[in-house]
Amino acid sequence: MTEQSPLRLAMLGVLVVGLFTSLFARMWYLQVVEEQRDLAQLQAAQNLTRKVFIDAPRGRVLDRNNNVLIDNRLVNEVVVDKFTYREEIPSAAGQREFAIKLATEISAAGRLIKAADIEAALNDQKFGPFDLVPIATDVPERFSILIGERAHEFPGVEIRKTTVRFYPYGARAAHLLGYVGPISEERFQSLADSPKLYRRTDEIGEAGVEASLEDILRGTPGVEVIEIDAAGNRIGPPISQTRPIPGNDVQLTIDINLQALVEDELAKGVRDARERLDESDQENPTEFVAPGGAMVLLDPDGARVLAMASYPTYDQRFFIQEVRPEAEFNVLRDDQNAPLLDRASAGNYAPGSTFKLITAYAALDTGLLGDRGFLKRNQFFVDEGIWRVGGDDCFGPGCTIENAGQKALGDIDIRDAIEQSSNIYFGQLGFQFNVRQGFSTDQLIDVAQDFGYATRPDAIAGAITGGIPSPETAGAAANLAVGQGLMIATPLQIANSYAAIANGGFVYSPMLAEAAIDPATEEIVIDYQPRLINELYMPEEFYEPLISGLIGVTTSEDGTATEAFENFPMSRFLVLGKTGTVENPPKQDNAAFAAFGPWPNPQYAAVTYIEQAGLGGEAAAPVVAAVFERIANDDIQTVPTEAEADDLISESEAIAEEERLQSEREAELEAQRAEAASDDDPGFQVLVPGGDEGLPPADADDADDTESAASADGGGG
Amino acid sequence: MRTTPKVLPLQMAGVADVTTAFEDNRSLNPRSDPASPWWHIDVTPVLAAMGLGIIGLIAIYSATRGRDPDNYVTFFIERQGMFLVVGLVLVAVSLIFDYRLLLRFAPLLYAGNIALLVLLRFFGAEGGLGVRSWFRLPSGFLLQPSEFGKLALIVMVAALLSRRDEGALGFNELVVITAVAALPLMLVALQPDFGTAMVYTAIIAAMLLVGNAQAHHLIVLVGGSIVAIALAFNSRFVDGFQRRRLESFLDLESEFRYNTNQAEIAIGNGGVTGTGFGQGTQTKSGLVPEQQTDFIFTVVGEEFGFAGGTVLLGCFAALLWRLYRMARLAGDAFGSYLITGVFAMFAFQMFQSVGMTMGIMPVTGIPLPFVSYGGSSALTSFLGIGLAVNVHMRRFGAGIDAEVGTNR
Repeated sequence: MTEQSPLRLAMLGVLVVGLFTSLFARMWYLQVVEEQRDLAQLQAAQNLTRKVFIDAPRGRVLDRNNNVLIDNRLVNEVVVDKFTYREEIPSAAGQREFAIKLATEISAAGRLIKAADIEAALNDQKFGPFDLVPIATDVPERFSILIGERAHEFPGVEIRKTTVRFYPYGARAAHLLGYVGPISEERFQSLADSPKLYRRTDEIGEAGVEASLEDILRGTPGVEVIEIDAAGNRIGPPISQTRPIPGNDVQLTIDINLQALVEDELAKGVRDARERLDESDQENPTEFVAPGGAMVLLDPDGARVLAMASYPTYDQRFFIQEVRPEAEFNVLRDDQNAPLLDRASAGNYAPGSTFKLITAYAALDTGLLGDRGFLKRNQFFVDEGIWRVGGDDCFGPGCTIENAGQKALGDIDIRDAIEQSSNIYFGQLGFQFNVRQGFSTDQLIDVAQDFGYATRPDAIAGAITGGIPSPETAGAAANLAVGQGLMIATPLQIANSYAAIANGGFVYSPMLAEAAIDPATEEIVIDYQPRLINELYMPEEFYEPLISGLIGVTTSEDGTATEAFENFPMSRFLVLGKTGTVENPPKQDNAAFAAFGPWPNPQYAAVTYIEQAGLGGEAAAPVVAAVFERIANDDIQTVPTEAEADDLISESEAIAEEERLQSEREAELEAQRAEAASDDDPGFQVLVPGGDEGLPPADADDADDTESAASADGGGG
Repeated sequence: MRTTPKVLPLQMAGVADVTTAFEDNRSLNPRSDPASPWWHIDVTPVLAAMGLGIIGLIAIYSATRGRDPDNYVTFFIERQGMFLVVGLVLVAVSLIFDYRLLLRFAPLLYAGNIALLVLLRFFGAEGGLGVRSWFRLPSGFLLQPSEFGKLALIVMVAALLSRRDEGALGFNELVVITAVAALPLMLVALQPDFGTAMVYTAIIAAMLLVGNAQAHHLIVLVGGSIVAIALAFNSRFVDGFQRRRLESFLDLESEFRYNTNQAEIAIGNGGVTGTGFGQGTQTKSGLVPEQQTDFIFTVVGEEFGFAGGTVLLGCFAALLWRLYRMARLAGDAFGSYLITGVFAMFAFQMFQSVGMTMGIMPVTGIPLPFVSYGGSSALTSFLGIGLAVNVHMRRFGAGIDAEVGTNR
């Protein structure tokens, strides 16, 4: 028998003393050392509270007459509780099946959605494991009933009320108004400190007014701090609470009636252009492609945007959907006519001959047209129709300048040069800027910038800056002076420069928002003022020649746009303008027309720009003329909202139905009479079906004929 | 020695000649007979255990009443209170029998335990994550054989150690003891219950150390255990959950750090004096898992702070100090080894269970003796105390209970 070992037992004892020591040391560190303790106490406090956000409604967008352009609408939204869904359906195959079933049922209820989109949303890392994932908004009530009845088949699927953007005028002003969409991770990060409390699952203005006025439109969500337990269950009343603050309404400078008019006329102008023949290649005349165009209507006082349209357009209601159907979006994005592009503010165009007015002012302002310049202000110049820039010293492209059809205009002064759009005269000015002692093309560029070219209109989301590359050769300088070459301008910039001419030299940054209005009190929170960016020196001796030239364009016999204004009530509403036919090799010429009126107190400045549509005077000027004619005749139709339009349609349908019934009754009476009369004719009934079958082909032929006749008409006009 | 103070109450009671009184009344009252084992009873470990049990009841109350005190379900404290009372009765009853009887019954106890552990694999109640550690008894009790198995193991190893010759532990004896100890350990590890397996390991290590195992044998055994554990964790016998818990202890970034983090926050939140009874926010909102059992120290740490933690550890210190002393004073090697095993069991469980909540030990489900809610654990712990007291009170030889068979 052994004795126990006191030494070994003592070793064990020492070991246990060591264990105690380490436990005490750790306890001391956690509970007594201040830093650690404070940190733990802070974390413990945070552990028990959660912030619950209460969404604030987004502000509405109004036009200048307070017609609501963007509203909010309460709709059903289908959300999936990610936790429940994952608990109930752990397998990938099951989830697949779930997505298909859900997509089928939502689609059946009338809101089309794809299973793949649902799956993508449910796998989006943006949503945490306990989040509600939005699947589809604006889902018909029918689906809510179905979910109520068959909840067990759709674990985690819930219906909740949410507000979505609602466009009373449908797809009107789509580019201008823009849309909201899910916030991107980068945007979210950059807005981390925003007082508007953005969250990853929020939506944010992505385009148009929704983007540029995001700060005004977005409300501040309310925050409730609540006490919770580890399972996330709420305990008791909120610890603190802030009310959501709705976003402010924004009143735009836009007039929806003018906007509708401009959109319709632009669309008509583009469609008309597509039906005309491009005869520049005389052996193979082809139809103009005219993929699209833009029109801008400004109030020269403050450069307020009254209407701005881009064609083709899209339906922004597409973007309301929580889960954007990827395929459809790609179709929109990849469409060769680029419907998503706002051509008015982001179209990459050369201004063409509309730029000659700027060249003319630059020449006057710098003295190139003046006593010590190339020509005196009113001096005549011989236009021979074709000119080789700088004689034989010029190399490279752009060395030959010619008028349209190489037409020699003879002795012309600045007024005639504008009126008849002389490339020779203005090319010569550009050349002189380049070569003449004491002058430089930089002066021309500076003046163009003073007019707002190569300047970003920051009120318009997505607007591009454009640019005027410094011409490196005499030929390039001559081309710049006639608005050809590498210069990039947008229709909005062109319109803005003409607005500056119209108002006597005040260049404003285009303005889209008139006021921010508190929706509850209707108080004006921000009253936006026009932003003057330049005041041009515009004495009478500069102004008169420019104006005279512009008047000539639309009224004189030789004016390039006179034809378009043939039947225009010029006596009541004198329109001044300038055409542009922009060389766009290898594509067809772009057509442009810039104008303002009524002179002498212009209230409207307008630009129409149609891609690959030929002469400005033929393709673009008529669009401006049509819009101005309505304005001149005070014949602006009040555009109905979609709801009103539906009412109108149902009204007219009711009338049509009434008429149909009436005629049916008459036909019946007729038939009875006929039957009574020809009771003894058995062959009649046999013949009828044969006759019916023969009819459709005949109809088709007729339709074809009408169409070709119409296109022939278009070509002729 | 402690006998003198124990006499004082009797003197105060008016008994003039203490010695005579004892001699005269030996047959009437065993407690008054210096030769009776009852004379030598040391109640300090029992008092310490009761102190821990009361702290446990308070903590269990706090941990289980949740966020809705009005609708508190008294189930847990009622049961735990019952376990404590039954535990005390068990101690009292166990003291009647001489611990040396266990030498005879050690193989039987051992075999019975092995049988239970094997049966568990077939008839055990399946708990979370497929663990089979409990038998479901009628009336809803869960019996955890591996808890009682700790005592069976202690008895068996103590018996083996005490039967050998003088001097250092020979190689053959070591192999036998290791093999005997390894069998239940493996069965527990396969449940899988690594926490309890670790307790088994700690018990065996401590007993081998005190049992004069040679240093190089111990080193080889410790090294071998480490390799075995490493291999086990990389084998398919360890499920991912267990492995991740261990990895989380080594890797601060792991998502499985969550439990430890919440536990540490709770303890830190208590500060020096604690948030007060029922005021612990971490406890109230149930952010710490298994708070009435494995993580019970967090309740004490949060609501009673450093002060409360010190009292709790103080109780353990008192208990372990008395056990250490008993082990030294034991009348025979068998008794000494028995107490060593019990001592190691309490010391390791305390360190593991408290250390885990403070992030210095990996998360493994081990109850804090006397404090954590749980019948098997409470009864086993009380039986352990009973065993130690039993050895201690009978330290003065076999003469008193000569009729009981011993090998002495």
